[in-house]
Amino acid sequence: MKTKRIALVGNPNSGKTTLFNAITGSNQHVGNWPGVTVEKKEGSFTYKGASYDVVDLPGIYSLGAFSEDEIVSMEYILSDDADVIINVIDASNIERNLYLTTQLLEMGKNVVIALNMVDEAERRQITFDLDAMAKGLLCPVVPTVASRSNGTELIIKEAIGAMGKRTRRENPLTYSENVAHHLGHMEELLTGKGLPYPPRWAAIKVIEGDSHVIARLEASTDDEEVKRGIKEFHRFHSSDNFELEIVDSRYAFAHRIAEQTVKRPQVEVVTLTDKIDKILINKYLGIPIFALIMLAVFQLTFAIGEDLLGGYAATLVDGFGLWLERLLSWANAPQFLISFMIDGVINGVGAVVEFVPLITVMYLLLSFLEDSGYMARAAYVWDNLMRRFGMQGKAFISMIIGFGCTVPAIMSARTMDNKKDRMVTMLVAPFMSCGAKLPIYSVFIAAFFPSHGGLVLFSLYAFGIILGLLMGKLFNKTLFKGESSYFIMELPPYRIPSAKSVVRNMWLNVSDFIKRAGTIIFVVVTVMWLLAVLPKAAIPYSQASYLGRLGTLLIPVFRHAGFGTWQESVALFAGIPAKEAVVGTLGMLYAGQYMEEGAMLVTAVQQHFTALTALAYMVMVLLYTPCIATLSTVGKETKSLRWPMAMALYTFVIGWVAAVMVFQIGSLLGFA
Amino acid sequence: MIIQLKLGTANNDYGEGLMMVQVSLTNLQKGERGKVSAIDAGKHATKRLYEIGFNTSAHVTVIKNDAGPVVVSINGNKVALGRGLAHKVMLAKE
Repeated sequence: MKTKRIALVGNPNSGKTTLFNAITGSNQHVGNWPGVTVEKKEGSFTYKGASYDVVDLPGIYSLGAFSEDEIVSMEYILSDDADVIINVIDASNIERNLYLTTQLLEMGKNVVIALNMVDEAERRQITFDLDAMAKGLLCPVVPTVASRSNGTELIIKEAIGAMGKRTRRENPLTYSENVAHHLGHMEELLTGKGLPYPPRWAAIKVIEGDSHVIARLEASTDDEEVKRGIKEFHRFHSSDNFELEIVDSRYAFAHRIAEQTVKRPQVEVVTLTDKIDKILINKYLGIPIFALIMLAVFQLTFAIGEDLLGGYAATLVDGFGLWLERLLSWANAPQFLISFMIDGVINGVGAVVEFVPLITVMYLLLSFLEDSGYMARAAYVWDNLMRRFGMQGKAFISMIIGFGCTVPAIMSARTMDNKKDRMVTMLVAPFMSCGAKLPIYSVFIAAFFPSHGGLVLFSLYAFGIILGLLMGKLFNKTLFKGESSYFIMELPPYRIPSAKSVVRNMWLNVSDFIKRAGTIIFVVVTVMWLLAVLPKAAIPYSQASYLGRLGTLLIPVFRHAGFGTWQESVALFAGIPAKEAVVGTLGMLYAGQYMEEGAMLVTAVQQHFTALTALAYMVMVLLYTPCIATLSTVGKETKSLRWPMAMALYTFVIGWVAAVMVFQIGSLLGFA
Repeated sequence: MIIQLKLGTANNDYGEGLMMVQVSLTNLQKGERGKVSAIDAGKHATKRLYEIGFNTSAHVTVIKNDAGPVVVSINGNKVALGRGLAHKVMLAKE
């Protein structure tokens, strides 16, 4: 027997993923802004010995979808795959949330309602008559606080209970006389034609003019009468606004239910959110405050992750290296094994692992921001400026996500329903410096700018944003002309981030970082190590090794940027599979080269670079070709091979030009 | 400030006499209220506005209207609309 399925459907930011995590024990990414989830996620749980599947879907406002993430949800709902739908509703925002509910009821879906975040509604002095609501909506209503797992047992029980009663429900809506008249005719036309949807609902969609559903209807039938009927209806009624009439009947229904069952205070409670917003989205203070927040993030990242904790991680890795070296010599291990374990694994992969505290702190702080409700505000304060560069505020959320990792940043562009906006956002996303680049900057900062870590980091990230804006403008003037799409952004209430979800989001990223160190970084460093110690005739780690020869070929490419030796160029290429490998490769190569001196990575960097070339190198790392994971995501999102290739190339050129400019201008000004 | 005035014939939905003064959302000041009467935007944007609550005769209170997108309260929910779009939302001032 097929495992029964429960689908979570609801408006953006109503807490579907939080409920999903609570029910299934999963660890999916949550945040306090609309559009965190952009793809379908699956999980399962067991209840009374039986197993159930749960599907978490991106948020939607209605069943008419425009953007990629919404289409995923809509397709899923239309597919009729779920045995029951848990409709997650934000309790503080009933009317608008019920709009989607009415559409689910229109479809005759088997619905159970999770009235979520009732605690927040309570604080705003909103009260509910749950029985009346259940009666009005013809389905069970369960109050929940998903973030604290309150009500999850009950909602599961209700959902499972509803599975048995799988019958088409009566559509509780009443439409205007005019619409009802046409509905009758259209329903008649569509009945008995073997269409994939119930005729009544299909008729509503045809009259509403839902192009997505109409296209599917037309594709699903060869019946000329149906096709002609739909076409003629729209030709005759091109000037009527049936859509608005239907929308209004849905709202009338939602409004009636809300009026009967929800009591709001006479005077809206002035919430803390309103007070905070007076400052955070102030017209003069908005962007400066954003800059201050980011500066604070980087200063804290460095102060805690590097100065306070960095030493421990380094000591741990070094200590482990010493112990391993002794163990290996005691066991009379062959020289190549010792060299591989110490130079390759410890000094290469270990050099990356040392940065776990640093990136942990950064991801904690970013998760805190994501959970607080600030992301939507950042989009708000940047919308005006972004527009001058041919983008819109929503793209800025993708950019901030990019500070963590470029892959989800590119995927988050799915929430944009305009192709041009989406493409430009994806194309500039790599300029937002990601967490994997942090170890690289950190090494160079320790070598040359030890007392200004946070500031250097902030400047690099700011430079990335500025370049992203400029490139956005360029794309807007050339490949993707036209105005950016409208901006609509809900500003959710601020919440004190829950420790659970902040730690969970942080851990998602940190565990991924550690996993990468043990997999792709390990592989890259191993390959680099092999190339550095072969052929046998050459002195290991010398210019005569395979890697040395390859690097020597590359020296002319980077000479104008001031990177003088072959190791630097090779490390940049090692960074294309994954950025951390730049540090891993440099660590491995320098350790091999300076073995006798027992030099640390930082001291070796000081010998190979100057402050100026270090800066040029960091700029190159900031901008050049993104990692393979990013490129393949771009390939998947654009369903093409050309875009990732173009991206790999153009970012390399931009990075190279910027690094050369930093070095040349710096030299002219007398820096070294 | 340009105040855009449109004379619309009020139908029974509004029930406010024969003539109704429509103003654009961008013309409402902080604290002012209006009732959505018409949306004159593109197909997508209009639909999106309907979905998030800007249906006929929904009450809107302006929270912020200076620089950048206009912030309104609708059904107790805060929504920011880009100025270009906000300009196309017509309201009957209350």
